[in-house]
Amino acid sequence: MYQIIGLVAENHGLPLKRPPFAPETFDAGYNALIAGDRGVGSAVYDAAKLIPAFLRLLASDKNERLFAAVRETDLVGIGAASFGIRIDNPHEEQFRSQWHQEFLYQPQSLDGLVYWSPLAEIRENMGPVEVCVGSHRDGLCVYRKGGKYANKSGAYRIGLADEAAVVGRYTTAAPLTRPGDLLILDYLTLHQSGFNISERSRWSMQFRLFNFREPTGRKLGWKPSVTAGTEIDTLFPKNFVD
Amino acid sequence: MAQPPDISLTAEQLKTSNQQGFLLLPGFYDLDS
Repeated sequence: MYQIIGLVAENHGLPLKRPPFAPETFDAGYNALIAGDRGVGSAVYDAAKLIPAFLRLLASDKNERLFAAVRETDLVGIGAASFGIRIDNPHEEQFRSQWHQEFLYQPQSLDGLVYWSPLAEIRENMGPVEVCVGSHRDGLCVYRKGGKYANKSGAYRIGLADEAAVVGRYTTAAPLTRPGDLLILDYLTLHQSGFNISERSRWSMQFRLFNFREPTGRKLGWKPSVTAGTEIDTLFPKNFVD
Repeated sequence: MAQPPDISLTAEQLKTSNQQGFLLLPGFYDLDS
């Protein structure tokens, strides 16, 4: 990542003063870079998911075997357009993921799992993932476009209908994590990105694995991510209100 | 031939995952390898 940040800065003709590479500060210079031009961050974001080591980890035997063990399946898939490295910048709401369930956006299998793993230590002020404990048992919720998130971009405009009431039914947890740790989330578990009020972006890997044998996903045809064009309000008409 | 990594979960971990809808696995990845 350190080298990619440097190359992107060069591509945009932007000066980048930073210390030599060190694992714990692999993102050195990134926040200064986007402070000058936020759009440059998109180039880093797009490039991050092209790194072979990242793709090897995504498709690793270890990931596949974990999924197979948790879901007791012999046929594991990786959701199309479902993986990447999130870069959640400090004090930025536009691209923060509010409360949602993964299955709505990744209609691959009801028993799919999000794999979430940080690239830097996540402290409380960096906004750890927040989870509604046990919410996966209550099925797919109802959502709304054009509600309180109407001013956000793309799929970020979709929010839970009656969000506060729904979330209020559950206790929440926000585990703190370090590089190497893995948080797995049921595709129906309500969760959101925490608020990053630190001075450093929150870097985290997301993988999404699914079960080819799960009946609902199989019926839907293991659809790709909403970001790849899946029209989820057409796919789940009963789960959207105006 | 290298042996596949052992990722066996304990019964307690599986129970927690099923009850809570999430599970934290500290140090699951060896990022130095």
